[in-house]
Amino acid sequence: MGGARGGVHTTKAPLLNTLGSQIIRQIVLPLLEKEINEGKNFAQLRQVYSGVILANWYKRALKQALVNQVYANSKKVNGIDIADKSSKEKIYNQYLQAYKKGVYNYIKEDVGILFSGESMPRKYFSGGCKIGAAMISKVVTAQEITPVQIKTVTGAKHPVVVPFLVVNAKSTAPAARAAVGSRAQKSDAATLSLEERRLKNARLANQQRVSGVSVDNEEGFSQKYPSIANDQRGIQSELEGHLTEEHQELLQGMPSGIMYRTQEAAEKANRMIQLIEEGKYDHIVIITDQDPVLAKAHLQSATKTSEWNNFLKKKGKPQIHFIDSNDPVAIQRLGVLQAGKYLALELFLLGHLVIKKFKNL
Amino acid sequence: MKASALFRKNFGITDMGRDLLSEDYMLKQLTASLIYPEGETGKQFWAKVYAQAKQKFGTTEIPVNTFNKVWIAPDKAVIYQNGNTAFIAESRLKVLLEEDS
Repeated sequence: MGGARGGVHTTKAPLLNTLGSQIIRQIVLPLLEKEINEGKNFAQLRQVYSGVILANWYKRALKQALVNQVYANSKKVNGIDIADKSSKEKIYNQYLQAYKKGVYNYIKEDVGILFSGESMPRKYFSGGCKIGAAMISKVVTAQEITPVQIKTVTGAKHPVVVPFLVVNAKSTAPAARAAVGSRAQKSDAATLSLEERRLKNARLANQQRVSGVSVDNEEGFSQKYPSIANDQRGIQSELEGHLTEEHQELLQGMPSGIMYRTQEAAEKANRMIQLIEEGKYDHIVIITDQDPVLAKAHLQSATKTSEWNNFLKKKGKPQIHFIDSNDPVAIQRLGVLQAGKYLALELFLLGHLVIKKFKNL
Repeated sequence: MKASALFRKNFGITDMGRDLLSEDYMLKQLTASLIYPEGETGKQFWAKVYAQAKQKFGTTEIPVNTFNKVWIAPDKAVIYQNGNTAFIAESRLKVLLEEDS
């Protein structure tokens, strides 16, 4: 019926469900019972209950009555049937909608006044939800894409795991920007106006789109980065074979090193860290196909602080945002960030690298 | 669960069947609203969940999936009978979790 998720997955979850049930019995059920027996919303239900009680009495006490002989237990509804025969399906569809979409589904910063006073992001959802291995059954992102392209990428048919994602919302030429390096960026900043830089980057982006290989799909990515793609296919097949185990391992053990399987990946990682450290960005956007709250909790757990955004702010470091790549609203939020530069990272598998770096801030 | 599994076909096309189904839907929504974390009861509920999680597991940083199906069941029905006439003297419904029913 309802649920909240925050933190890491553990084998304690089933126990917690039992614990939740106990508290439901203590707190929620008495209120429901009162509402059902006394509230106006359930007057019809009580009316039906009264009807059923009397019908039962009638069937038992007046077995010889004509009505009983003709009607009882014969499943006849002629004359009392309703005109709209599809009303059952309509109500059922409302059920389904509430179940799929959730009666509520939002993220709340809980302040743990009970324990430490630290705030903790939690996602509260009531309805049905995908959990477990399904959460990583499709990990899709691209290495260098614009926010608009994210929608396309997440709609890819085949899962693709790529090392990381660099997006500069202001410039639509992230790859070109990354390639020219920090010195060139400093030079741009010194000599060109904001608008000139935007136009220049847009031109570079267009050139790249024309001449370059698209990396927003598995094929394009494989062509551009064959060694990484090959390596990732291995990772992918391992993942597909051990989704649950891998998921658990990732969440609990947080192993690192995947970034360093290839020289190229390591170089990209180093460049990424350099960009963060040099404060080239106003925002860091962590895009994840997993639950963003879970992702946020990973980061929080690894940095040993629940106020890491304040922590980073004090240090003059970029602010962090979590984006669910499957959530169109969240994707739209990327547009809001366009007022500043931002670096987008894909957390899955490779986020550990970023997390580790934050530890040392 | 399919729509057809909720009610027998004939019952589903009566006023009573339709009303029961819509009341059940309302029950689900009411339950959800009671554990909504911004509400009074919801706050109490989640505080207790996290407090017990902390007590039992030493952390609140764990996923809590409270999946609870709620059912309404007859609790008590008292009928006053006088010849061929009957009156309901008392009736009460109770609410159970699926696992308790």
